[in-house]
Amino acid sequence: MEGCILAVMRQEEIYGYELSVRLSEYGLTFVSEGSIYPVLLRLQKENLIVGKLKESPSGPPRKYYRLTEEGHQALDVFRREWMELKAAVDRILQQGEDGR
Amino acid sequence: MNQGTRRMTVEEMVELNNERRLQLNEENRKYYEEMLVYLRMSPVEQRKVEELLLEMLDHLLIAQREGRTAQDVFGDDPESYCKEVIQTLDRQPLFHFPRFAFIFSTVLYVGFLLDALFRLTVYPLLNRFYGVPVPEGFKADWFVIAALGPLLIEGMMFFMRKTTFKGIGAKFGWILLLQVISVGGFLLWHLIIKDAVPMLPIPAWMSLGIGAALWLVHRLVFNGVFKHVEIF
Repeated sequence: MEGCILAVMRQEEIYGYELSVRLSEYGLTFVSEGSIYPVLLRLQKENLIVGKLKESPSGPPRKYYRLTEEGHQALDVFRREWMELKAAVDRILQQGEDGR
Repeated sequence: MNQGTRRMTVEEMVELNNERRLQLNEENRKYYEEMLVYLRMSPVEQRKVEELLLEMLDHLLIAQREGRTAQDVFGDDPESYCKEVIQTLDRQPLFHFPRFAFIFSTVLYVGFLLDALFRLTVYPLLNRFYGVPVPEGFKADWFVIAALGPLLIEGMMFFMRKTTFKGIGAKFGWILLLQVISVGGFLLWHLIIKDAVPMLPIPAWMSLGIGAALWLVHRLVFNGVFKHVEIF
């Protein structure tokens, strides 16, 4: 989930509610909405993202998040590890299919 | 100044929260306010808590407009949810210095001023009508209370947290326990420790002077020089 949040934030500065909508649009519906907040706090603590409370164009002040330099690096690492994992799982599944 | 570029103060965030919270329906407000009490009564940096509370409120208000409840958004177990949040935010040390200094000096200037007030007004009256002796100095137990201030406040916060998310029975139990501890502590103090604490032999007007001076220093330090230090 951390990796997905970082990936969404790379595209745009975003606030909590908008982020949960984006994640569910991408099909991550198993994530209960509120559970993004502890994750956002953790990512801030690890200095991968920064949040800033500011006036939003439509409505009250909101906390907008963006990636830090370290966040960009962490996203690259996540992407690489995910690709490797995905390739490995694909190979295993493929072998299962072939062997049947 | 443009609010978009200025950092909101903790007070402004609390005020905004108070205003926006009115838009919640009864069920959601009840759920949200329990979380609010729990998080505000936790020993973590106040600014972070208020930012998070505003975010959660904003989320909940949008969800409410779309017909979802607080339970849909934050789950069936708000206490575990809040505990997870608190674990992620760094716990402030019990004797975090700015907070300790703030509480210590507050208790002391209040102590000196109250001592002066009582010795100049209440005790002379009691003495006149009932023959109660007027104390001849400032009881040093105020120093002990001042030093233990953070511990006492944290203890109160612990009890406040324990009474949130609970049924009426458990709430009553915790409040009863708090009463027992308070009365026990008071008796222990009164019967055993009190007489062992020394008395500073200073006249009442000197207490008044010291109290006023401490108050002035406290104001200068916390509203002036260190205005931007996060105390709580």
